[in-house]
Amino acid sequence: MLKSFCAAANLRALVQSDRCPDAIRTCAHLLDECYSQDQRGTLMNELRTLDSNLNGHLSKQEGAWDYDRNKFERLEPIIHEGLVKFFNSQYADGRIADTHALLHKEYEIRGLKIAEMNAGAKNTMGRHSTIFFQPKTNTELVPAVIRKIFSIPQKHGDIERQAVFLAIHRYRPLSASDGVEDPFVQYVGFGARLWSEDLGPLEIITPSQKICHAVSRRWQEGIYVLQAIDRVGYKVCV
Amino acid sequence: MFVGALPTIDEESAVDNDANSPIDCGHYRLIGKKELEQIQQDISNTIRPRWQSGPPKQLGTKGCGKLKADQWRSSMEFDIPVSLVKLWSEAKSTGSDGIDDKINERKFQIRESTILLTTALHWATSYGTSPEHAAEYMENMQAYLSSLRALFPHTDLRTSHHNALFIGEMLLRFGPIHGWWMFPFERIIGLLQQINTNSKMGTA
Repeated sequence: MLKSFCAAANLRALVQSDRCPDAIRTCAHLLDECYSQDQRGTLMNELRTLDSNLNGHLSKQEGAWDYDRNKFERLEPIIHEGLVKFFNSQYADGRIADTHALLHKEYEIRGLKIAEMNAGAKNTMGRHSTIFFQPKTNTELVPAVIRKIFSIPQKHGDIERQAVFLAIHRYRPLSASDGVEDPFVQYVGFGARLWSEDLGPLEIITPSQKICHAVSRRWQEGIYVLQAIDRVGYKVCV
Repeated sequence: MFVGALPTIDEESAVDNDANSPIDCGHYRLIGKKELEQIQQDISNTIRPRWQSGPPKQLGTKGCGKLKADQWRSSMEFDIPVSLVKLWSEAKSTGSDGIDDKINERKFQIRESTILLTTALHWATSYGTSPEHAAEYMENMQAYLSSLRALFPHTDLRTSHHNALFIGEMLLRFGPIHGWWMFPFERIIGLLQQINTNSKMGTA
């Protein structure tokens, strides 16, 4: 068994090295595609996430995007408005936010499958749409729910690349008016907190920001306990 | 990896204390049928990503079978600590003999102990590692083991508890735990166990 384990590890190292023959590299790619749908279990998920993070897999966004505009759909006015605000705050070149975009029910970011809140069947809905994300560099993670995931083309020099955006609503932190004391405040290392069910205004974020899944449970009427499944020790907003 | 289980007290072990003897709330039932049902209800109401193996909904009953390491992990990372905090955060003293206060104090200590284990687990299973990860893990693990000694003074620690005190050093020497933990072997063992054999070693 140990021999098989070491052989598999060596094969993986060979595939990732420069000396790997093209034929084997092609086969490895096919194998990855065959097993890419298998997201079951923490081990498999972690292998895939680590693989994407460590090997810096090229995302679809980095090459030229061959898109079919007929598949684009009109963005909800509130999302378009959010996108305009996002462009104004992030880019100084006066780029215009498209009113149409390619909508994604699900999208994969660095090995992590995320989904809009209405995607999936009744019993799976919301499982991949509750996330924690980092609003700005060096800030703590905050929970949010994904309303829409969409792509629009963006010019980078002569080529058009796929730019993916997430329209999200943050969970509102507890306030004095909620009348509930958060018992998890004293357990900083535990990472769970109580959040109000009320959602904040729509915001636009990008996949380049740190994002991780969340586990949640209703604490009482109008209040959820949420914990980030971050695995890398990001700091969660207190 | 999971060096301790949730401390529970069986119904059978609950005894009536003599009124004149010192109060030993170690024999009192802390998690009874009602609490267990609440934990099971909580597990059913938890929303988690599809890839995460949550604990069985009938946790604590014979029907749920043996938990896999993955299920123990998710149970300890979220389900059990959150349920304990919820169950025991509203505990109030109702009697005048001080027993309620003592039981509540014990519940509080068990809750703290469980959270210490969860926090140690979080630092140990991080994708990245650093002296901070190792130090945080060791601090929480040592505090957890100390709390076990205080809660169960007549119970010896196990070998796995001793082993757990080396993980901090190993995180620094060998890097993130995913590179050297035994989950891949457990997975292969699981596959091998599913193969039908005639139970005769060395023969076809």
